[in-house]
Amino acid sequence: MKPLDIFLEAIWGLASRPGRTIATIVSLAIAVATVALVVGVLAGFERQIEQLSFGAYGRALVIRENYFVQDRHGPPRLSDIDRLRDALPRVETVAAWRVVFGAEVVAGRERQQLEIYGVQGDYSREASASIAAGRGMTLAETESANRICLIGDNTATRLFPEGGALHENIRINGISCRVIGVFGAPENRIAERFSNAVITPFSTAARYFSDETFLAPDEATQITLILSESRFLDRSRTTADRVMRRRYGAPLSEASPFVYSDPNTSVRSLRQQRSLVARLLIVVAGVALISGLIGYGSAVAAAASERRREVALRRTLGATQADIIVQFLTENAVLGIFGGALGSVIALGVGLAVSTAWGWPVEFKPFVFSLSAGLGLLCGLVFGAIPARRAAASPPAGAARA
Amino acid sequence: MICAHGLTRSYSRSNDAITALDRADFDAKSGELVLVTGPSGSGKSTLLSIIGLLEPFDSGELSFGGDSVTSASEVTRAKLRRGRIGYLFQDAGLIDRKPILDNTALPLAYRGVGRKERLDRATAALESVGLGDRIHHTPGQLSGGERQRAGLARALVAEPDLLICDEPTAALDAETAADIARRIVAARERGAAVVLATHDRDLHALADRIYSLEKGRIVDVKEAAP
Repeated sequence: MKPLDIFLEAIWGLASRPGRTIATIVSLAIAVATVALVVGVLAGFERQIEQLSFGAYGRALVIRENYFVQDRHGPPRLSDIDRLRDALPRVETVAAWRVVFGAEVVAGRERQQLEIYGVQGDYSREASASIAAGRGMTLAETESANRICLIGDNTATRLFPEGGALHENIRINGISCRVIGVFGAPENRIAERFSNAVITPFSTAARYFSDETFLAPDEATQITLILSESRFLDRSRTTADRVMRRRYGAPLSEASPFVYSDPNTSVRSLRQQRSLVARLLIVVAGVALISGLIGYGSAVAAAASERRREVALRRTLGATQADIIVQFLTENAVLGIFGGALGSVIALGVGLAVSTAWGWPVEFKPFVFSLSAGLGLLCGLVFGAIPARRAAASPPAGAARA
Repeated sequence: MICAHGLTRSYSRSNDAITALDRADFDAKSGELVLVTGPSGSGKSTLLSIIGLLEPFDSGELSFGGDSVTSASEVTRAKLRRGRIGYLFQDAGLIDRKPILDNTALPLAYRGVGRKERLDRATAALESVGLGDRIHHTPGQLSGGERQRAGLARALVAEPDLLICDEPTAALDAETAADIARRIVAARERGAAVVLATHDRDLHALADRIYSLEKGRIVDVKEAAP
């Protein structure tokens, strides 16, 4: 029999029993949908974690003043950077930040309360956003006190609703500053803070815009050290603490004058939560998959058993066992593909529903649909193989004796 | 066309072995109508299944068209069934839910005949048995006699060398049975060997040879008068 005829016979085999065919497809679809949905939810969690991991910032060691110690030594200073670099060989880049909260920023008739981030060093790792217009600041510029700035995409929209922010002057706490670049949309959550902010050189922020009298010109709100690999974070934290204690004369018997935070702490916590949820979901998906496949296998086996007479007749007419097996496997492949496709649609619908109703971070990548179709096809072939072999073994003499 | 010597077939049931066919010799030549008669359980269906290559046998020799098929593989048997043997069963043996046109075309599909040609030949075969206007009906939509005519059309559509009919008229009324019998007998005019298991005594006069079976044994062979 020609391949097209085998395919047509398989389609006839399915179409001639629509009720059973639909029930079989649905049972497989439910199993596939559960797996696809779990994969989608886990991908959503992963995406959420990726957004928090923020690329290179996931390798960052952030040093701030510890406000909870009695004998305070003040915030970290720009001069600490070189000592830290010398002591920590795994440091890739460093940035010192001076944050001015709630500065009044004016452009023409527009007036906004915004954060000003003064930076010295490589700010690009934390900004994680490309420059949409103009240019970024050079390393030399971050070390200068030039009154230049980069503004976030939202800042540009709010201050310049008509557009054209580039090369315009804005006034920050009454001091003029020229816009040399505008950021595009932020690529991760940490970069979002720059969306509604202004970035200037560190010394510019300290000298012109800061009204905090308790900070000296070289004192930083935080120093960010980006390490070459996140696995060096723990050791680097200990080394940095030792360097800073020695520099500020804080003995090990007292609490550290600085806090060393690591954005991966929250990521690790999320990963642990995700791991628990993932295990639970995998168990649920496994149970649903097994139940669905048992239902599917039973339906296929029952259908094959019902069709013994038909198989015997086909063999009487010249079908070989191989012809029968190929026909049944083709039927199961078609069932599997339809089950996989329907499972994808169900998973997509349920995913959208739980995402809307419960705020679950469901994300369906294209491979989820390939996975669903592949899983359906695989289940169809695996669970169809045994009934196909059994059906093919029906002796042709059975047709004469039925 | 088909020649058998010493065919024996036993079945195991519980601890007993039942001999369905015991050292049977059989012969049917092209263009002959051979009847197989005997009471129920005498081994008629077993004999027909074996010579129709539907069922294996325990001992004996069987040749088909001059070639031995005693130890032929299942694939070889399937190829002979699809190309050279037609079957008509007591219940017509049609596949339920499949239109009789597709049922009739099925042997040609297994022979690899193209779709258009096989549908044309199946339509012609159904028209020849008076079912030209029912080709899209399923077996469930036909009467017993019509089903049997459709079964006969399917058995003959591939123009087989051997036509095996297992009590094809047993469940039909006398008039319909006579019509079917007439059409079966007509098949031998094409040169096919026709082997027919039947209780219908009216057919005895048309037969070239009659085998009588009892308890698995051929107890009598009658040749037609020359």
